[in-house]
Amino acid sequence: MPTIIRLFLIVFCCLLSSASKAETISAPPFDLSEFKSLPVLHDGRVKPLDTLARIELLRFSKKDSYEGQPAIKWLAETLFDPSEAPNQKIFVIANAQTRHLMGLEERKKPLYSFVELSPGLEKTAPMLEDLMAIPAKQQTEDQKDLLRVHENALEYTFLLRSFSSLLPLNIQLPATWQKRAGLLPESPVTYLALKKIEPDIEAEVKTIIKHKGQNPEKYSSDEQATAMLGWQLQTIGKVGENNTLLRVIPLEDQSDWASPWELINDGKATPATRKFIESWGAIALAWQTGNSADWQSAIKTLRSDITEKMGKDSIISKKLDIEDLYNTLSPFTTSIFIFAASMALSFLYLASRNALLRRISLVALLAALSIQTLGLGIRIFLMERPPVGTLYESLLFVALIAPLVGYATELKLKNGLALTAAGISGALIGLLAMSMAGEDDTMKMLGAVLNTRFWLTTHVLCITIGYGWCLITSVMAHLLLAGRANQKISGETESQLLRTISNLALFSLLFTAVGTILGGIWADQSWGRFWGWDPKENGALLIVLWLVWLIHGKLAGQISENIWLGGMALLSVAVATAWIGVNLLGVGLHSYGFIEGVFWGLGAFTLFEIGLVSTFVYKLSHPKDGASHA
Amino acid sequence: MTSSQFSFKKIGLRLARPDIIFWITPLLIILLIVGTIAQKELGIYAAQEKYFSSFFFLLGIIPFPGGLTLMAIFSVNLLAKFIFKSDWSWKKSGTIISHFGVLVLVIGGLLSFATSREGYLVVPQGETRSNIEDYHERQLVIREGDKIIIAIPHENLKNGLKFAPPQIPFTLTLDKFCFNCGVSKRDPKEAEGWTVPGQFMQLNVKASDPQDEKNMTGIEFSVSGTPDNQDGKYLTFDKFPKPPQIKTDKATYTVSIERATRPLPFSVTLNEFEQDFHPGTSMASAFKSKVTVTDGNTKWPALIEMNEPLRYRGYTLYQSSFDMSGEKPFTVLAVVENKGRIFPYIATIIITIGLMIHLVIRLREKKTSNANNN
Repeated sequence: MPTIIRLFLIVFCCLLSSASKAETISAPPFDLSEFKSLPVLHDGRVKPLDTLARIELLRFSKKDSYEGQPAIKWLAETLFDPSEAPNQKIFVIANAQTRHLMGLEERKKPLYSFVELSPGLEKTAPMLEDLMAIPAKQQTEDQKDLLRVHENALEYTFLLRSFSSLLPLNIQLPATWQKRAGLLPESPVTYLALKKIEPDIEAEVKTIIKHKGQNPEKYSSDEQATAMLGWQLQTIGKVGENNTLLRVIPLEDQSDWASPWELINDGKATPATRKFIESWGAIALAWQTGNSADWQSAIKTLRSDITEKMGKDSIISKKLDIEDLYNTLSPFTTSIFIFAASMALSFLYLASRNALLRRISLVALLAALSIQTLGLGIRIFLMERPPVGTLYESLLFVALIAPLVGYATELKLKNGLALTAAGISGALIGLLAMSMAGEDDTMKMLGAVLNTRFWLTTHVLCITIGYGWCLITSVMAHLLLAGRANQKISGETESQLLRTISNLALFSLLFTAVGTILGGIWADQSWGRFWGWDPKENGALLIVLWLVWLIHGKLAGQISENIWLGGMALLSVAVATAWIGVNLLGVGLHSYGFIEGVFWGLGAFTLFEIGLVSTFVYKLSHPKDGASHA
Repeated sequence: MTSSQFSFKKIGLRLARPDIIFWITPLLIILLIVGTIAQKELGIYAAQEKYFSSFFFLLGIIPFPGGLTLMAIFSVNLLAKFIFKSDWSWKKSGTIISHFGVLVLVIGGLLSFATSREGYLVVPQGETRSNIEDYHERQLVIREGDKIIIAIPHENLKNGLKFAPPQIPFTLTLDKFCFNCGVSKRDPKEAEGWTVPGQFMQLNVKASDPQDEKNMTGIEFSVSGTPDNQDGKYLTFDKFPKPPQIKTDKATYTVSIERATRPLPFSVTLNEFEQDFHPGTSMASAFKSKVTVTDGNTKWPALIEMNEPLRYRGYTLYQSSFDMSGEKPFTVLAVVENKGRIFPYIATIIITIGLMIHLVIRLREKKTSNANNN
């Protein structure tokens, strides 16, 4: 049976099984502050549960909160209340074709619960084998989306069933089995508690079938209960196969962790893991019974056991604390607001020339830069590598470099324009990063080729610094063009700005040219050739050529100052093409990933920029009063 | 000054003018955009050959200068500027140094273009290899016993090609050649005259894969005039484990399609292939080939891993790929010979120093002029 179909059956087994769960008390008012800091090994890194909750919820719903509640609360409900959680509308199905194929009703917000998705998943499951046979690059967006929905559903069932071995079962346990399992009447009946007598139950069921056949109606009530128990244990055990998503139990080897199901299925359980399992069982039971005091106490015990195992001052413990702070601060969202505030204040300063506004704007800019630096610093500490391994990360980094250069320029010029440029670039690049956070903001580990600190530090940092420098140059050129076209800039400021843009362009050339060549050297080290005309390499070269053309065109007297300025403003388009656009081609060796759906955005941006800059340049070349700029 | 010197300098000065780079650069930008977009359809290798390693190509119906032409003009302009138009002063030192760095880069590129050769070495664990296979070049090979007696490059293979050289006692006619072949079932009605496996399968022409090394080159051919009545129709393709053999009482002739190979002047034994993973994931964090290099009577162990190649005797061996699905794992090591590989390293240093000096001088000049104004 193909794996995907098998997995799909597991999904339905899971649904079936969760329907048999005990009635639970919904949404107890538990304190989640300690719970969210508990560690889990996920995607190659030990992280707080809160991070995993955000990643998973973002994956399903494109948001990191559910109905105004934090992601960690949603995760707790999913883990400890698997009979109710599948009713939460967390799956966003934005693709109309997928909705149609799955027979989903149309809604204003296309959010659906797992229960609502299930008939559609069953209906479309037969298509999966054929879809998976199509190479990823040849799949249409609709096909990819359908596969994505099924993958998400599978991931969700793993999450839903993570603790199914520890959760109390809704089973009337015959007294004989209760005795043989060594359970007291008040003890919770869990899969784990019954696991040791499962072989006996299986043997008993076989004996019953041998003597009375397959028809349960011929069984006595005790035999029926035993047969039902055997079937339930078998079903729950089946659902737990391959469930390695929630690795919350530290093992002997400090770098290895296991999920509760791995302990059961893969024989990883040891006497040392017992206390962790017991604590998780107590946490689950406390949630289900609504006992807040037991909840707190079980989490405290677990935390102290883990701290003892890891060592209080271990690097993992420190990283967990720092990541907790990172999640609480949300530095990059915070910095966007402050960049925007700084930008608004600088605009007000340009309009009013009130020196106080400029000072406040500068302070706000400095605050935003500090928060951005703090965020990036935390990411460096957590990932132990430069923060430029993915497209999203490079956006965050450029959202620091461009405004930082703007800030330094403002300290020299003191006219508010570089301050405005810094605020604009920080806020806009930050927003762009935020729009891509869903794809990339998981602090994931890098593949083997990218897993090199040296080249990430040299080539990628250098080229992204170059992007940042180009963007601030572009924004400054926009401001100068706008100021000139509207005759709002004095002659002295104008010449000062022209010199500044000229210098910024040279710095841009320095970093992009050296970064591009360093990229070639990395390619020489990794793939055995310096230059392979890979799209990403060509993109970087495009920026270098664009700058070389503008600089030499001005030197040779081939282009007017306005055209030169327009060209500098259009550096934004060159950078967007090199940085993001080349991914649209879907070819090449670089690992930024091929982004679908940004084609129109990039196209619109390019047209807008060309239109805007052309308008400015035309206006400057055809002044109404007859006074033409150079 | 003689008139010839005068005209030489005059030509040099004209060639050094910045308007040349001004007009060449937009053409380079267009070439870069067209060549990059074309990679979507053609793949990197074919697009590189058509646009960047050519003198001219057709952009629709318009002839357009290829990468070689534009780089040649660019290099001449840069060289002429460096020789005839450099202002040998401290003020311009940064510009001169950075232009010189670009010149070093271009010369290195030219040398790499002329001398670099790429290939790969497939080494199963526990085995030794010393033959570099080519990524792109395939050939039709006829062996007498183990000895290669005929090798025809794939560029010369075409449907209908008939040949009966004196080295072989039969005539071979090429019925079908495909650089990239698909395989399908042959209609039993058409099986007459075919030998195994051609009785059951046939080759079909497929569009070339953008990644050249993935193309499966194959041929269907007829053999006639064999002394022992082994006339018939045969087929074979790249990596086919049992290529057809024509046996006579004197010798056995094997007809195969193979990658062009060339010898490595030393051999590589794969002792162990290792794959490291990020904890708790199936995502690899490192690939490592533990090898032994043997050169004559000298042997030594070496480790080749991602971003950590082995360099020896002008050859660089990189960890390129691997396969762990079979009984024995094997590693694929890219092998590159490139006499120009040091140039980019030197050029980077020169360009960086040049641009930094230029920037420092500019910023200092500005400070001085500000001070004078004050």
